[in-house]
Amino acid sequence: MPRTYEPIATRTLNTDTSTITFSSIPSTYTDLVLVVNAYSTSTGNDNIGLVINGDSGTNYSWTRMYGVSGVSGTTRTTSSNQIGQGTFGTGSTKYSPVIYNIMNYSNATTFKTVLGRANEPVGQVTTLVGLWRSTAAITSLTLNLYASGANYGAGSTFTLYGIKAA
Amino acid sequence: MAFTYSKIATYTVGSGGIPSVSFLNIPQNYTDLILKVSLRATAATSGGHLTFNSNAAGYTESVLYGEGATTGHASNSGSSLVWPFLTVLSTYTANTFSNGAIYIPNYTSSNFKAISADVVQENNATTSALYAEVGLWSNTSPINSISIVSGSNFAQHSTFSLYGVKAEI
Repeated sequence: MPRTYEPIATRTLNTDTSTITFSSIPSTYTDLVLVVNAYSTSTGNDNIGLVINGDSGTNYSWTRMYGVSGVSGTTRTTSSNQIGQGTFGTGSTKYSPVIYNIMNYSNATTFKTVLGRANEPVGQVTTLVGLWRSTAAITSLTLNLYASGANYGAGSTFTLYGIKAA
Repeated sequence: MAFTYSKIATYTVGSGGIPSVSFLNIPQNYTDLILKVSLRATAATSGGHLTFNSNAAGYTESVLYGEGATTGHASNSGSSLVWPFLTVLSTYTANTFSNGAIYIPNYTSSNFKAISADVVQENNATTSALYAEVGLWSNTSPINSISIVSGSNFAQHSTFSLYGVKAEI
């Protein structure tokens, strides 16, 4: 029986690391799932951002709904240089589960949409949709942090799964 | 061939309902756990709550919600996680059940355990709801059991399925 859900790559940090990149993503799956359980070393607030194929141009937009401190809201950003603004925890007691679903990532016809859930334990909750305005197949994913000088802390884990519809 | 996403256990509630469901002796050889539930209560009281390892301390949670035409955010701390188990009450539209997915990453680690949950109920009435939640169990023990207790009883046809995800290449 063929496997339909497979780990493509996984990484556990031994030392603090500023960015995480999954490259050479095979085009043989239908969808991707990126699971992050990590924290930022920032001493302030932080957020996680997603860059596709190393494209640092203003080719991204995103809309998010959030809840924090008894308030809910929605924000949107156009012509951004990454898909943000994923809520993220700081410090090793705040490992933050973040999950991105990327559907039909290898087609060469459509712009690519990302569905995300980001969490700061136990403060802010975010659900977001992002768009990369490129028809190129996705071959790499890079995770950035917003806070200047911040790293993903040692012990953080990142796993990219592929889902086959065939 | 080892499977990445495997069923660990599943349970469907039978006639008469049950007050609780527990997953015991959870294997420690997966990377993450995913608990999927479909729930309805036998009474007009609120839903279920969850504890890990039968431990009733150290739980905090934060939820972004939409209930009918209202949106909001709330936080809670206490002896269990409450909001992942939004449960359709017995007084709501017949044959409707809530549906939820709770993602528990790195459940065997020695870090505090954070979960990400999404749960919904839709019943063709103003009582519909959607919750997006982050929960934290401030405990460094590996998770070896999960207990879900109803505010009343979970009704017949409610389901609980626990999956393990392996990140091994």
